[in-house]
Amino acid sequence: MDHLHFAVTWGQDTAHDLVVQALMTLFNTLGATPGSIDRIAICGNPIQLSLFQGIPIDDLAYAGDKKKEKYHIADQDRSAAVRDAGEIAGMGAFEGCELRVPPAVKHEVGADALALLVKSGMLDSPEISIATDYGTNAEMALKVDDIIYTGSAAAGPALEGQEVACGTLAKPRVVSDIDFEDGAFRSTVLSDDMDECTGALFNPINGEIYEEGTIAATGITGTGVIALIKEGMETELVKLPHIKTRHKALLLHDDLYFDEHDLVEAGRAIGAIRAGHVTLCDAAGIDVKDIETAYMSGAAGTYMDAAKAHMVGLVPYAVRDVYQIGNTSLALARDVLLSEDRLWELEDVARSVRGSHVMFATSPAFKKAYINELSYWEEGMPFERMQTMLKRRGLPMVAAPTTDPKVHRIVVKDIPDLGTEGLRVLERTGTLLTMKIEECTLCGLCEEVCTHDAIELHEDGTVVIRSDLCDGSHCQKCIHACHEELLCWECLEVVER
Amino acid sequence: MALKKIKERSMALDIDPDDILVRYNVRLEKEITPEEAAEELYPDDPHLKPIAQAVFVGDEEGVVAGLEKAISGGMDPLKLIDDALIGGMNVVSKLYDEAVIYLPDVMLSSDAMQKGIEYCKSKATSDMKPKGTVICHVAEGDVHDIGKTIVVALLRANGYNVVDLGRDCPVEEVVEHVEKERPLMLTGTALMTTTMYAFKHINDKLKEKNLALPFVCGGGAVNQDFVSKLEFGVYGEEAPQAPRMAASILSGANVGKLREEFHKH
Amino acid sequence: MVKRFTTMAYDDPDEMTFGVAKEPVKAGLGLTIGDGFTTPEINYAPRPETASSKEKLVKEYKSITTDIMDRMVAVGFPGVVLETEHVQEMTNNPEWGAAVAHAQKEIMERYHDEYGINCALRHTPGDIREDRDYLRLREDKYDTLLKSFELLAENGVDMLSVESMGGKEVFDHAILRDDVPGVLFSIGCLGAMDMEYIWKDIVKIAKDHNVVPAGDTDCAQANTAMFVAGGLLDKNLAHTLAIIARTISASRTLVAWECGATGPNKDCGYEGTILKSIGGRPIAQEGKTSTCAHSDVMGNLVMQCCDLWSNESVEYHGEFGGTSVQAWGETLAYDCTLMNVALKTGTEKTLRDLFMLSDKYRDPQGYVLAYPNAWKVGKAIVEDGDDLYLRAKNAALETCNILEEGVNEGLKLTRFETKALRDAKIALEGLPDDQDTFVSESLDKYKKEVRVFEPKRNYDL
Ligand code: B12
Ligand code: SF4
Ligand code: SF4
Repeated sequence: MDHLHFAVTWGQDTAHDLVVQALMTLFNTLGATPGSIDRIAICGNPIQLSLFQGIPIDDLAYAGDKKKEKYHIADQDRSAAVRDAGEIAGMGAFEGCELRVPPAVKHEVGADALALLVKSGMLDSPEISIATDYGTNAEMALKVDDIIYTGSAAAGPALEGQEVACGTLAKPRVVSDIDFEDGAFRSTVLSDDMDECTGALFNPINGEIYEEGTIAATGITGTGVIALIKEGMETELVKLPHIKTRHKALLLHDDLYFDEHDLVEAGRAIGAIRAGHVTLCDAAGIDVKDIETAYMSGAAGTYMDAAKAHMVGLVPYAVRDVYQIGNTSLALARDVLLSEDRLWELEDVARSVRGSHVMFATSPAFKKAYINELSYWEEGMPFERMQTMLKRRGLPMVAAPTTDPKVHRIVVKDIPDLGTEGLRVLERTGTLLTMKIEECTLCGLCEEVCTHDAIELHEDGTVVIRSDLCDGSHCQKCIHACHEELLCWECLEVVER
Repeated sequence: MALKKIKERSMALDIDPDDILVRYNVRLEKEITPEEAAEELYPDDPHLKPIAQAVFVGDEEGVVAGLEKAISGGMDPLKLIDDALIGGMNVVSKLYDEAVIYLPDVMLSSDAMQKGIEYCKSKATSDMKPKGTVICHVAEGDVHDIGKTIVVALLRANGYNVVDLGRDCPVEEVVEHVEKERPLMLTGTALMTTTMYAFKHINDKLKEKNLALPFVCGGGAVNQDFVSKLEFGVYGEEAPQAPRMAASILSGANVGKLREEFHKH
Repeated sequence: MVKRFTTMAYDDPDEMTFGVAKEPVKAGLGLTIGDGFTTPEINYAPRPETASSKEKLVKEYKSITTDIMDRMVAVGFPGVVLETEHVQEMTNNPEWGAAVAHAQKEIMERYHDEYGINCALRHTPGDIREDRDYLRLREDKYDTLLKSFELLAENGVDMLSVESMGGKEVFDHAILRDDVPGVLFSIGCLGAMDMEYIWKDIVKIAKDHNVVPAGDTDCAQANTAMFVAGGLLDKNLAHTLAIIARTISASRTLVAWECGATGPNKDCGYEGTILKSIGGRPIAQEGKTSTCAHSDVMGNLVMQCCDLWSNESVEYHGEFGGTSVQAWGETLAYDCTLMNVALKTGTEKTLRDLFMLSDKYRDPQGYVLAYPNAWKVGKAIVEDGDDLYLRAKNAALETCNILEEGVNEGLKLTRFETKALRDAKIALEGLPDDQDTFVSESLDKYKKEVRVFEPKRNYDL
């Protein structure tokens, strides 16, 4: 469930408690007691960092200046800081433990974006280069000469697998890649250790399995989605905006599928990123083809097959080199943890970048470029027509990729070094939302429609939703399913723990 | 090639028909460019045609130049709005509906037409009587205005006078404008789940002031259930519904009728 | 007496082939139709000047019959069906038709005795039930028509058919206006009601005389739509609408079988494959071999499941290779030979698919009539088999779905066709859920709009 929405609907305090509790669970799992921890460093987007620290997020939740003025919503200070962790509500026991917080560039471009800039190494290279975090906020930075242009295309969670029916974040036992092989599609599935394993060989038209995979899969990651689109387009099964099979969907193994609605969602995200690239180039006065190097980060940016991402338009078309640099946020947190100087260096970088930050929200270039993308992905406007439109609008040109860039996979995994004990994912970091439905007929429809197994119906007509599994306000399938209109989003209450 | 291979693996017997037959009707149609398709639809009048043409290709200067010439030739600026500008835009709407042209084309043309309308108004001696007025806005606190921009363009393309209040528009400002303009309908767009509640406030204020009118709410964040709970609320799922809703209102539909016609479940 | 179809004869479309029906029909002299082989059905028209007297007509038909039988024997074909579609005079004067039948049958018997060639004679009286602009479906002319059937059955005809035209007055109005609900009303309701009226009587006559009550065709309406739609470049009527009229007509033409007719239906009913999927009875079809009479856009495809293979109609005259009936008859018979070889060698499914694929993507009409899709339409019909309105509406909506899916599978539609399809679907989806409402609404509408529509007189509505 989207944390911003959760915090606004059920209170920032509740959200804060959840974050802190998750951290406590992490410490407990690692066997670390409050007294034994000297220093904590964090990294993430401004919402995440604010929720943890208890900084009000109204200025993030409401984007328009007019509304902020009306309700006297002040922009919060999100510069680099060193604090006492004991000040954080619910963490009194950590008094004396140092908390290092990296700065945000502008309110929607946070420390995670900074991590991208710094950890990619692009600051030290003379080339025209672009770094993109392929996540929900799609932060991006373009470096031309010594100026860095930043922006955030808010691509949405599709590239992280959400909003897509069978989509999921990268985790064990999910499809992370697809290749065309011998007249069929071959999937790659992540193992329990997040290694890439050979998945099933199948026919996407009818879902027929020619060869079983080594591991069964429970979902498709954003990178899998990109690969599906790329292979779909190349085999002409995907002809925007349609999927040209009987079921209007690509059928995979283990009941997984990718349909036209998913295609629209993915298109909106891919389109937002390409439009963002165009907008930054426009601001810098260069053409998209002038970009020589691209850095890809974020979980999606790590596992994505860079060549495929390049083919669908997620990477500027004429780049020579692509570097996949992994989860830079984690790396940056580690840097900051080890060196306070590093933290203040970051503050300097953030300040220098602020001047050339491009607000996509007010940028006519972004709006025009994105409407082009919407038409390309959702209406099937031919690519050539999109180029004509860019030209008529005086925007930097995009083109279909002609040569393959050299791909440098700096890291193979999201978290490159898992240590000797391997990776374990904390389960149940969320909370429960519940309501008692007086006139419930116990028809069970609400439970039936939920594709995330997030909702449970009890015999007395109480429903319980797990916030960590639920897709939240974007989904609401259960709410719509209830024929009596008894289920109601706003009536749900957070269960005290 | 690859598609063929996949098909071969899957179906009993099927073919790629392109090698054995030609759908000449489809082929002929493909070869028509949007410009050619439009050519058949322009008004015949030699003064009107170039203006309509300029609207179609989105050439703002061409529109104004054409209008200038027509007006100096003695034509009535207000009549030019209907015959040349909206006439040209009708061509755009028709070809958009038929998927000959695409959204970006409509946006360009809509801008060009708007320039033309402003020019004509500045030259006119009397007031113009539009088909109807619609007020559009993006919820307060929300900067996502692309959906709204499309709605505005499509409404204009269909001859409605649109008062565009832009993004992040405070509740009070929306209500004030409704009071002043008494439009056919009000539209609101919200893409953030945090901002959509503004619609509820607007609805309440409209009720308070006895300003009953259809309030069409759309945008990625809202859904039909949310909108149905508002007394004046009608859910708009896709931008092209906006002009259709306005047309229904012109032919007498109220909120209930609109819901019947446009709501899904 | 009327037994509606509520289940499919074939559970799987792949079971259906040419030459084999679930319920073969024995007819005439040694012939069984749909029992493992296909048979040519030759159609002809006398030269116009011969219609002036009974004697001239009888003479003309004798020549025609002799020519055909001669050629069949000369080239060595095992069986043949002759179909005589009446010129008006032969039905208006029932004894003329009877005399022709008698003369034809005598000749056929001679060939059967002499050479052992299996053969049967089908007669199709003209639907004469009209008076200038007005249909007169249930009055004097109806009695004349029944009289004609009666005399034909007494005079050697083996199979009785008709091309009934109930609903045509409303259909002609609706089809010119792209009015799909009107098409549904005229074919699906009015046409079906009239068929029920007339086929109960035909079946009774056939039974009394121990001849075959074969079947009908929606020539009057669905074929009109097909001809108005024309070739690929014609734009008078979208081909997507023509095929909707066609699939609705399947629900209508089926009524003959429901009244006790046993097949084979009439050759020009392109809805035949759908009928066969539901009823399992043999069908006559025509396609590339009826180019002498009209052009269509699925000349091979319609062979996919035929039991009789026909040429629709050719005027009797000389050709370089003999007379026209000999030329076309021979062509039909060679086609049948090919199909029969396929049946014998177990390759009939391949040949069937070749026929089907050669036209499946040529036109939306062929696409829907391709047997796997035709079967789906059949299934939609039997889903509400007991309700004439609902099943016709099901057929129409299923057609829309098949076409919409088809676009994803290689069928190409023009914008004109796509738009007509979209509008049709919207109109269909807006229709009421029950027959009474639909019929009463339609009655109100068409009583006002169609001057010649007289529901009480013609349909007792
Ligand atoms: C493009 C985009 C942006 C652009 C907006 C540019 C602009 N000028 O509008 C930019 C990059 C600026 C942006 C910024 C932000 N965004 Co943003 N953005 C998107 C994105 C990618 C697409 C939205 C869009 O334009 N869709 C296309 C339009 C056409 O759709 P639409 O408006 O819904 O309209 C359609 C229908 O709804 C309907 N319709 C709409 N109105 C009406 C009216 C009527 C009458 C009718 C009939 C129909 C109708 O018609 C249209 C189709 O035909 C989405 C994610 C996604 N994949 O959807 C996120 C998204 C909306 N953004 C989001 C967020 C959070 C933000 C930020 C606040 C991010 C941040 N971390 O700070 C910032 C804003 C901060 C700021 N001050 O700028 C979130 C909202 C989440 C939530 N819980 O609500 C989303 C969903 C992404 C996500 N999940 O994180 N964003
Ligand atoms: S169906 Fe309901 S519980 Fe399940 S994910 Fe969607 S909103 Fe959450
Ligand atoms: S859908 Fe509604 S009525 Fe049915 S079980 Fe769920 S809450 Fe109860």
